[in-house]
Order: sequence, then structure tokens, then C-alpha cells
Amino acid sequence: MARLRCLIIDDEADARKVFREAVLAACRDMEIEEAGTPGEAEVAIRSGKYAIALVDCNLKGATTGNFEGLGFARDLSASGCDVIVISGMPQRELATLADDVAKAAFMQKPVKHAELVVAVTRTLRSREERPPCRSELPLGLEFDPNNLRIVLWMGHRVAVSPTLYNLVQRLARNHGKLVPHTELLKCLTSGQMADLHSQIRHLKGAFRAVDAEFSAIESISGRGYLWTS
Amino acid sequence: MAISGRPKLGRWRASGFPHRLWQVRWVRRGIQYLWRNNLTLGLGLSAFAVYAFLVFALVTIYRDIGASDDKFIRDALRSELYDFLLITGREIDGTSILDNPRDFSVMRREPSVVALRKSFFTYPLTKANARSFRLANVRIDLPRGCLLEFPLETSGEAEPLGVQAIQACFAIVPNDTSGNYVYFALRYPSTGVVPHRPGQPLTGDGVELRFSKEGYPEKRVRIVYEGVTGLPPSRNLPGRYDGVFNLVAFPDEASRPSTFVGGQAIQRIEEGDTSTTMTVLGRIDGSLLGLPMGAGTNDEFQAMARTLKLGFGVLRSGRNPFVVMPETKGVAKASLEQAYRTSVRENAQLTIKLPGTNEIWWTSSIVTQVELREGASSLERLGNSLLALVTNRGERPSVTKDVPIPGKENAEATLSLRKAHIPELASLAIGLLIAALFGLSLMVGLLWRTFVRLTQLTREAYGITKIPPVPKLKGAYKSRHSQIGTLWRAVSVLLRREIRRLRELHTEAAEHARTSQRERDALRWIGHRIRNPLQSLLEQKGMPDEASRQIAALQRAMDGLDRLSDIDDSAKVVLRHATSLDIAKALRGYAEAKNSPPDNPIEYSGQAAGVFVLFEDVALEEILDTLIENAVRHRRPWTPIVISLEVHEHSSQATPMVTVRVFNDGDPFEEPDRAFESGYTKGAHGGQGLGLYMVKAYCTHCNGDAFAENTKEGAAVVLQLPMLQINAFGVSPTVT
Repeated sequence: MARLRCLIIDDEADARKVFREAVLAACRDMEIEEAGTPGEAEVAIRSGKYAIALVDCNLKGATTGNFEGLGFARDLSASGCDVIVISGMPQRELATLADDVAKAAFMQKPVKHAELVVAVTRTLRSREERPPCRSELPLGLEFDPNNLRIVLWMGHRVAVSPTLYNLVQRLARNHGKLVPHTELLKCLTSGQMADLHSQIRHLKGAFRAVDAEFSAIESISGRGYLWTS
Repeated sequence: MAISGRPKLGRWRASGFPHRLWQVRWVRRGIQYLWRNNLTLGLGLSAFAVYAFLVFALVTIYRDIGASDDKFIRDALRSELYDFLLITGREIDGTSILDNPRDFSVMRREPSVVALRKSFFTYPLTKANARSFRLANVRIDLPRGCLLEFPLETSGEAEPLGVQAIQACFAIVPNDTSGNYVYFALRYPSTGVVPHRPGQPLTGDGVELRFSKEGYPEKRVRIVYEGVTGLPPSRNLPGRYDGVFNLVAFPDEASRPSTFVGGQAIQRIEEGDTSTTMTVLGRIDGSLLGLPMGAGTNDEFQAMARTLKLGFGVLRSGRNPFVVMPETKGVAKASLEQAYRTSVRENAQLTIKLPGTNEIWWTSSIVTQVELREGASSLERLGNSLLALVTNRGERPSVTKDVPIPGKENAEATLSLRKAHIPELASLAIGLLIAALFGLSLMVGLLWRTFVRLTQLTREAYGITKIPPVPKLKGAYKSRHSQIGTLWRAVSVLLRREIRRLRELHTEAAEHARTSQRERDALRWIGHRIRNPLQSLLEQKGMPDEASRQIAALQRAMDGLDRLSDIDDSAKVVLRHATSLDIAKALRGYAEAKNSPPDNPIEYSGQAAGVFVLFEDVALEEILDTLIENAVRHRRPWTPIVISLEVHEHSSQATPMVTVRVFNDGDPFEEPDRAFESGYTKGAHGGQGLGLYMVKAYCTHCNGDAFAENTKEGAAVVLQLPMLQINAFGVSPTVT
């Protein structure tokens, strides 16, 4: 069986080293390649297929502006690779951008070792999970069967980041049942309750963008969230 | 066609007359006064115009509606008059009750002798018709005007219980060629007749008639029924004369029958009835009653006969089941009053006059009149009263028809309204207009009060307008010498000032936004520059503890910076995502879920459900998490945290508010006013000092508030949110 491959794109050697250690901690058999410049990144992307990639957004020597890393992230994502964009830029701006452009998760520097290990582990685990079949889902909700993280609500595509995708998947699989906070926190890299509420708010906002009357996600006070049938 | 010469106004001006007029002091002063008070003058003239219009409308409505209604009323009156004439002239013998208004006027009268044009008396069975006689073929039509009906109550002892009626008619016929007779007819319910036989006592079946007149003793005539004799019998139809009886009269207890009384009685079941009826037809010679007899005494006979007081009764086996005294009033089967009441409206008067002599043959004024219809509204009554004052002397709608009266010329029947007709719609409209006039008068009063205030206002406005004219103030009145000009100019000046102030504010706000954006960009740039080296420092091994702590603090500060922006953005989203949330249910659920005694007891007090606010459920969860975390941190160990809910529906505020209080027993807030500022922390717990900032931001964005409250027992964070009211259409904001 072929080993999984990982690509790390960052212009700082220290950061690449930290990322490498975290990836290996998450998956000892992972084959890791590193790229420190945009040129190296292009070569690496052309050289083969990756299971996971950690991409810095702002690279030194960039030719297309401050967000050249997002372009690499988009190319990698299109090839079926799970991408985590890691940057020192503000989260609320870049997280949306990473999601919109590359369907990538986002982590803000500085990233703790443990957080990165968890994030990589969860990303690899989610690759193995198949999206639920249509009969398991509430009426009006659909997932792309090819696991390309595409969510449809009433026939319209809902823009969701990987974190939101995981959240909606958990809620939808258990529609009509209460999903406890502890269960939903597993979808978050930070594992913090405040982030969970914030992500749920973003999730509702994403659905309301295509359906102004959307109200399927309900908070069960102090216990968790519920996708009403 | 060419027109030459200057316009007339130009000529007038050129003549110099206006200039000369202006030189007259009182004219100039007058015009100036009017000009100064042009607003008041304008308003006054407008009110007067409205007043005049309302009066014009009042007159027009009355006239137009009245004209169309008048035709309708005349048609209706004509129809009613024809109905009256048809009812009064419907007698079978071709006579009319209108022929004798003296006797047939009133509906209820005492039994008396009336004058008929033709006699109704006949012998149903005679020798001439004996061979073809059939009881069923006998037809007796009594004149309805003459016939009086007396309802009599029977006790149920010997007679069937109930109300039965006896009908009676006593009449004379003027110029009767057969003699001076008083004809009579009686009809009453019969239970069977035992015919009288000659020589038997007079206690059997029969009737008793009583005649009296002033100064004379009462005359009683007892009449019994005897079987018909002296007629040819029939083998084929034995008993064919059953039910027919001859009348035999015994005046004043006489032992021998009198020949002055004749007639027959018939007992049978009448058509359309189920019970047996006895009909008595007879005549009494006037000499028996002491009336003038002989040739040339007809007029006297009539006059005296009419003065007779009559009474009668039915005899049945020694009993008197039906007795009618002379004073008892019966109901006429037909009368002019009856015809008038059934065919003519209440407020119309009927008069029948004989032409030439102008003698009133009959008038409805002898019967009781009814006043205006019931159910008219107060406005309509007001209109009626006012119009009645004006119009009662006017022409009243009326219709006329010729009526033939035997022995006289054609009479003239006139049906007219008792009062001038006031159309109901017009009355109502006029009532409304009068109310409007009243309202307008009130408004004029208020206007006068306003005028006084306006004068003061104008003086103040004049002070404002004394400033030099604002440049580019186009469209504003230049004049400062009139009310309108002064006020308009003051408004324009104030408007310009306000616009200038708003522009300044807008410029300041734009500058503030630009500064804020620059600060954000700078912070972002600094953040980015700090985060990369921070990442490297974070993973370096063997760093001194103090340095690690400082790095961690730096990281928290960076996270706080992002969190602050997140809160501001989320606060806007909270309002957008807000729905009707049952806050009582949510708080109770939260307390139950998080309650874990004895380590972390959380209690809830308040309504269990049914209190709604416009809020986001996720935000409430965030707020409660934050407040409970704070409360746990600052409470005394093992003491419970209390979440309470109160509803202030009758507070002085316009909108009822919901108050949520999260209380913990512990130290009070040191600076309650600053606790909700960003970055404010108490103690070294590693927080960013943004929790309460977030709570306040979320609440204020949803038109609520959050503040700290210190009590003797401890401290509480209080949230206030506007309550939603539940009505038939669901949940709605309560704005009073």
C-alpha cells in the first residue's frame, strides 16, 4: 500500500520544521515534502498527488501578491488534497478567503504543536469518512457523494469550510436528535466552546445566504444543537 | 382680429389711481395689517370657505334628495288611497261603507241601529222555493259594516271552554217601501236546537232582544224557534227542512206570540268552519218598539230608531250562555277606521270632502294618530327637528281622487302627509353636516387660540430672520414682513443650519471611519509581523519560564485582538439572525443542563416558558456560558448560581422589558461601570477581558442592555431585552 504524501509550503524554515514534526506526530508513515519558495511549491505540486498540505499564505518572493499561497491551496484542493492554510493574517478575513478560494481549513499563527497535531489527525480521519447517503439526511439537504465537501440545501450550493462541513455532517446525520456540545467540539481544531458557537453562527449564516427562512438548526440550551426534522 | 391698446390693468396703473390710494393712510395701514397677518387671514378664509361649502352642501342635499323623494312619496300615497277606496267599497250588494260614515266610521262601537241602503232580510224558506229548497244552497251575506262581533268567554261548565263570538246586526232602511221595520241578524255557535212547540214554556232555545230609549221602559222580546209547518213534505228527502226554523216572538213575557216579529233561523255548518252555527234573520215592526209609524213618519222613525240602545242574549235550555249588554263594544267587520289603518301610513291624513259645500264627509283625524317612526338615530332626529322648524309651513305631498257618494255629488278624497315630508336620508345627511359644522366651529375656536400663539411664534421667528440672508437660499421668501414670509424664512434658515451641521457630522464620521480603518490596517500589519516570529519562539526548546510566560501573554493579546473584531462583527449578525426566542424555556433548560450539585449548583427562578424576546439562540448560549464561567470564578465555593427571569409589563417604559439576572454569592464588582469595557479583567485568570464586553455588545444590538449590580449578598449581571407579545397572529413586538 502506497504511503500518504504531505506537502508543506512555508517560506520560514522554522515553521516548516514545526509543521513537519506535527504531521509526523499525527501520522508516522507520512511522506513529507517541503517547499520554501513559490517556485519550489509549483514544482512540488506538479510532481504528484498529496493527501494533505499545510500552506502558508504570504510567501516571500511571491510574484502574484500577498495571497499567492491561496493559489497553491486551490490547485492542491482541486486535485483532491485536504489543505490547511496557516497564516499570521487575521483569522476572520483569511478564513473566509481560504474557504471561498480553496475550500481549505484555516489556522492562525502562532499554532501550537498540539493543536496542529489534532488538526492534521482530524483532517486525515475525515478523508476516510464517507458522506451520509441521502436517506439518512433531512429533507432538502444533500451532500456530494464524491466527498468534495459540497453541500446543497434546497438545490442551492451552500458555501461551507471544512470545519462547517464537518459540523453540518454531524448534525444532519443525527437530524431530529440532540447532538451534544462535546460531540460537536470534536469538529473544531481549537476545541473551545466559544469557537463552537461562533462556527454554528457561521453555519446558520451560510444556509441563510441561500434560504432566508432557514431555521433548521436549533440550540438546545446548555446541552447542544439539533437539526430539526 | 387684431387687438390694440394696453391691457386694462396697465391703464389702471397708468392712471395713477393705485398710487393715490396708497397715499391714503388708513388704506395703507389696512393693507399692511392684512399682509402682516396673511397666514391667519388665509386660515380664516379657508375655514369660512369650508363653512360656506358645508352650508351649500346642506341646502343642496336637502333640495335634491327631497325632490326625488317627493315623487316617490306621492306614488306611495296614491297607492295607499286606492287601497283604502278598494277596501271600503267591497260590499257584495254593491254598497260601500263610505256611503254612511256616520255609522261605519269607528272600528269599535256599541250595538246600535244603522242605516243601510238595501235590506239584508229575507225568508230563506218559503212556499215558493220549498220544492227546490236545499239547506246547503242557502246563502246569507250580511253587510260587513253593520255586523258587529262580540268575543265572549265561556266558562266551560255547560259550554265548551274558550272564546267564542256572537255576531249581530241591527239596521233600518230609509225609504223602505215594505214598512218601518228594524231588521236584525244574529249569528252564534250552536250546540243543537230543541224546537219550541206551542203551549210549552219559553225556557227552551232562542234569543232575547232588549230595546231601550231614554224616558221609556226597556222592551224585551223573547224569540224561540219552531219547526217549519205547512210546507209540502218530500218522500225522497225526508227531513229536508231540518235546520230551518220559524221565529216566534213573545214581547215582554207575553203568553201569546206577537205578529210584529217575523223571520227564520238556520242551523248548519258554515263553509270554511267546523262547528255548527245558528243564523237568525228577522225584522221587528217599529210599532212594537214604540217608534213613529204611518205615512210621512219615515224621517222620525229613522231618527228614533238610531237612538235605541240595544242588548241581546242567547237562551239555551234555561241558561244565558251569551249576553251582550247595551254598553258592550263590538268590533265591526268593516269600518272606515279599519280601512284607513290597514292601507294608509301612520303620518298621512285622509280627508273626504263634498265639493261645493266643502262639507267634510269623513276625516281620519277622528282616529288616534301615531307620531314619527321609531328607531330614528339621534342625528336623524336632530336633522328632523331642525328641518321641521323650517319646512312645516311648506307644501306637503298629497294626492286626490274622486269618490262616488250615492245621493251626493262625487266627493273628493285627499290623502296628504300630516307634516311636511323630510326624507330620512336628507335628515341623516343634514344631521351629519350639522355635526360637521359644530366640529368646524370648534376648530375655528382652536384656530383663534393658535393665532395668538402664532403671533408670538412669528415674533420669535422674526428675530431669527434678522440675520443676514443665507447665500444661495433660493426659493425662500424674501419678505420678512408677513407671517408666512417670516416663518418660511425662519424654517429655511434653521434648515440650512441643520444641513450644515449634518454635513459637518458626516465629515467627522467619515474621517473617524478612515482613521479607524487605518488603525485596523496597522494592527493587521503589526499582527502579521508578530505572529510569524512568535510561531518560531513558541516552539523553541529550553526557553526560560519567564520568557515563555511573556510569549504566552503576547499570544493571548494577539488572540484578543482578533476576538474583539469577531465580537463586533458577530453582534451585527446576532440582530440579523434574531428570531422569537422563548427565553424562559431556554434559561430553564440551560440551568437544568448545567446544574451539577454539589460542586456547581445552578438554580433557575422565573416563568417556566412563554416569555419571548427577539434574540439569537446561539448568542444567548454564548452569553450564558460567559456569565456562568464568570460567576463560577467569582462565587464563594459551593454557593449556588441563580439565574432569574422577571417581566416588567407595567413599567414606565413604552415597551415591556424582560430582565435576566445571573447572580452569584461573592465579592461585588469593584467597578461596575467599567466591567463591560473591552480588556477589563479582574484577577489573573488568563482571560482576555472580552466576555462581558461581548454580553453588552450582543444585548445593545438587540435594543437591550446589560449592566452589573452589586447587592448585599453578592453580585449579578443583569440583561434587559424588549419582550415580544403573543397575539392571534403569532409573536409581535409590544410597542405601546
